[in-house]
Amino acid sequence: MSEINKAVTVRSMWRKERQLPRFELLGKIMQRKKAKYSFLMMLGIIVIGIIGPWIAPHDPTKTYYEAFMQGPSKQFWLGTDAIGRDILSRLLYGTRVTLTAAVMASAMTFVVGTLIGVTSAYIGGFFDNLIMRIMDVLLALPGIVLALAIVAALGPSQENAMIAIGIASIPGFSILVRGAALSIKESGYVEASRSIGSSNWWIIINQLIPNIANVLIVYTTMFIGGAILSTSALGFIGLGAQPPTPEWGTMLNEGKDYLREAWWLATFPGIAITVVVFTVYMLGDALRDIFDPKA
Amino acid sequence: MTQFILKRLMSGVVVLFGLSVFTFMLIHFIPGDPVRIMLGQRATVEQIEALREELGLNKPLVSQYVSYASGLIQGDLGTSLKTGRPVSTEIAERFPATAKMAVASLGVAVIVGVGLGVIAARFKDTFIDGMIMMFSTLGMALPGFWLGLLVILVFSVHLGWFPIAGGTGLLDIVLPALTLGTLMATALSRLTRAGMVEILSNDYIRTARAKGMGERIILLRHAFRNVMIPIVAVIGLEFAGLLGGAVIVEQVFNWPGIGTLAIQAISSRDFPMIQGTTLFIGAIYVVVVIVIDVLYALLDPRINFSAKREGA
Amino acid sequence: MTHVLEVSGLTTTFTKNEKAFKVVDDLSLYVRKGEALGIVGESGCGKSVASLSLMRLLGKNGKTEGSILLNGQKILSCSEHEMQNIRGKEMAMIFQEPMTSLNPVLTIGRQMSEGLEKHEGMKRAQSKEKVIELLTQVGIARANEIYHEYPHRLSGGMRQRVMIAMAIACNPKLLIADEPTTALDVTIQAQILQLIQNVRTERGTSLIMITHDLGVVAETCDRVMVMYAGQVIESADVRTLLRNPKHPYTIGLIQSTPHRSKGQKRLYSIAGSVPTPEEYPQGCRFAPRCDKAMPVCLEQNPQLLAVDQASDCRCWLYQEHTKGTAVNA
Repeated sequence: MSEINKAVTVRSMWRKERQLPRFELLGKIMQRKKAKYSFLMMLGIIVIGIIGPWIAPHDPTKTYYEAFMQGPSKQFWLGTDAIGRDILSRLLYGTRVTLTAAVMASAMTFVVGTLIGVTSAYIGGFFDNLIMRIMDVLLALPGIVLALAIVAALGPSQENAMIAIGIASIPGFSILVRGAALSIKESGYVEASRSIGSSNWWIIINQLIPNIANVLIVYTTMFIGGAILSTSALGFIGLGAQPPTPEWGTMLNEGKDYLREAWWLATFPGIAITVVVFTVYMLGDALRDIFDPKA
Repeated sequence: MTQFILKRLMSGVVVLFGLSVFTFMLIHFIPGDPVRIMLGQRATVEQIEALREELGLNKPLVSQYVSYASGLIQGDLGTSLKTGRPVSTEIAERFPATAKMAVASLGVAVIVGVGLGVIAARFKDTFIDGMIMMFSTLGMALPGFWLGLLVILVFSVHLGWFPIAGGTGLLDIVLPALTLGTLMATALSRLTRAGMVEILSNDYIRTARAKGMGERIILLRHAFRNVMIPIVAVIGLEFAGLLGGAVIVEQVFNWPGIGTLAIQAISSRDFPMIQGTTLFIGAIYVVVVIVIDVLYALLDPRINFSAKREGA
Repeated sequence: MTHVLEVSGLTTTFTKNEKAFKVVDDLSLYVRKGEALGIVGESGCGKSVASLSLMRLLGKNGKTEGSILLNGQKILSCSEHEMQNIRGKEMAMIFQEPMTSLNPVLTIGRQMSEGLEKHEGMKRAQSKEKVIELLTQVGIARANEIYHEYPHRLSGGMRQRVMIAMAIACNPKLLIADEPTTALDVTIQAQILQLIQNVRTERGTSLIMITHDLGVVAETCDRVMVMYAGQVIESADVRTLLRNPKHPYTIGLIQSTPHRSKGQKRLYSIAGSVPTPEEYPQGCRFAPRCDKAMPVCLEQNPQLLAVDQASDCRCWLYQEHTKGTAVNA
């Protein structure tokens, strides 16, 4: 198994690290069609996440007794659900719920995963070996199953789902980071830095991290996409956000029993998830193209 | 070759040991008193003490693990709190359904994914290639359970071609396999395309052309066999994703497999069952990876177990 | 019909960023039956592209114009399907890199027999017999075992022997060898050249030998063409070219070849390097590196004209002697 992991790590290692100053990055994004549109889309989604509650036409938890399971209409653009709540308003509120969960989970993955990946690569030897064995064990479980096991222990709730997804992504993330860090560690300038007596932590903070920053940005973006999918999956099977929270996966769960009667219940939240994840992946892809034009 | 397989088996055993430690520790991750949580609010003190005794939770951690692990070695995964039946029996009952679905999905994934990848590579940088790659990125963004709902909505509810959900017959398997297979096919088509493009630029492909071989033979005989080597490795890795996807997709189709079993167990806080299903899924993955590793070595003649070079 | 191959005005254009580059520019040549023609030049002069153009093995981005006649058949107007019947059957090619030119996952036998099965309609058993016979002919011992072997078990020299056996399997009229010895050890090089020579004399196959090494040409070829920056700049029979080179580039090339009998102190080298198609100058393409360059050289590219009975040369130094006789007129 470690052979295959190695192959995958090597494949995802970056041949050449180049760092771009912040504004140059923004400039590069705006120069490219794919990067520009996915970046603007993402910006739009974030704005909706922030102002969603103000632009929502209705209260997402209010029941309209005169409108149970109504199809899209002038009053309820995307229809109402089984207990008469406005789907559009729930979707708009849900943007914030989903984005927050995914970003928090990915932030956890990012911090812990980077720490593990970088120290493991840098220290090497027995420590590296041990850490990688442990990651091998955790990688034997599909991410969602690992997350489910953790949710099982912690109990089903939005926060616990977030924590579980964050933890479950750490093995994959740290292995990717380790691969990138190893390629930097073996480069000439780290050797040179060590030869003039720089301390380990100085090298890690000033040389390793800045040089894998590009890789980290791309991986984190990709992992946010995965986290959105996992969050909604847990919501869908009833082990994530609990009703009446307007989380997209939870909404699909509520809609799945009414496929025959109300197609809109099971359609719009799914479209929302797909559009957001698609945007995140496109952005990640575009960032990868910018950082590594050869790949 | 035997040595190679033995080495793989050894590393598999190490991973299984790690997994058993993880599932064992799962109970100890529970915030608060695990026994009280398992039994719920209305349990009496006697009931709680009895279960604590039964699970051995009042013994030291190490001896708890030793008895857990020795049970595992004998195939004893504990007893379900909900049904009172052995966990291993319940898993054995559910496994065929999951295996059926996984194999059918894998079939769909390989045919669709590899097929589209080869076509995209053959028509690289054309409209066809662009469409296939669009499909693949879109597919990666699709939540599996939602695709399942859509498929039911279209093929069962509106067209009425397939039963909605519930059975495990041949007709019932089509939609779940299509759902899960399509999801897996998206990533596979990208990897196949990338591998194929790289391999088609190799010198030996030019040699085959110089011999007068047609495009079909070049693709199928000369390029495809080479691209199969990395693809087999990827399929092994993807298998983890397939099992994970199966857990969720089973929910959509009410498929009576391991995934449904695991999720029911989580909902009812049936911890021996949660541990058992988790360990079982991990074990399947370990076995699949070993099989793939061996297959990989067999496919690639360059990995040789008694390599000896001929002189000029 | 003594010319196996007749090429005139062959021009191969590559398009990059919507700009067209002529990598091979107006190449004309012929090869007689059983004759060996050498094409010599530095890397990047277009000789490999020219050989791939003859086989029509360039990818989609290379466009070939002009006329190629192989035994009177118009190669450039053949369909892809007709080309597949010509490649390996009428003309075959030996490549530079034996290490990467064989498919790593197919046995030697499989790779050799597929050509025979396609072009000669042989069945597996027949072709196996033939393959083993061919392998023995190219000096591979234990051909029976090698038949079942994968390429990675063979050394570079052995693989190149296999490539040669593969190329001659269907008795092609024309063999194109693109730097067949460059990637090999010096001791193996001589063996492989000898093998190519033997094959040629035994079967009467015509040969185009593409190389950067005048030594290889001297050993194997009857006539030679020197290419520079996509164009032929001199053409003569081997003796004439080596003893009495005309073009300043050819002279430089010969001087820069190490020679063990002459006690040279320091090896001559031509200053600068071959320009890429993007940077071809307006006048003679060699002028910037030429120590005999005249004002006219920088303004106008000379034509390839007959200098005397034995040589054609593309150089202003000889244009007045030629009385304006165009070579291919």
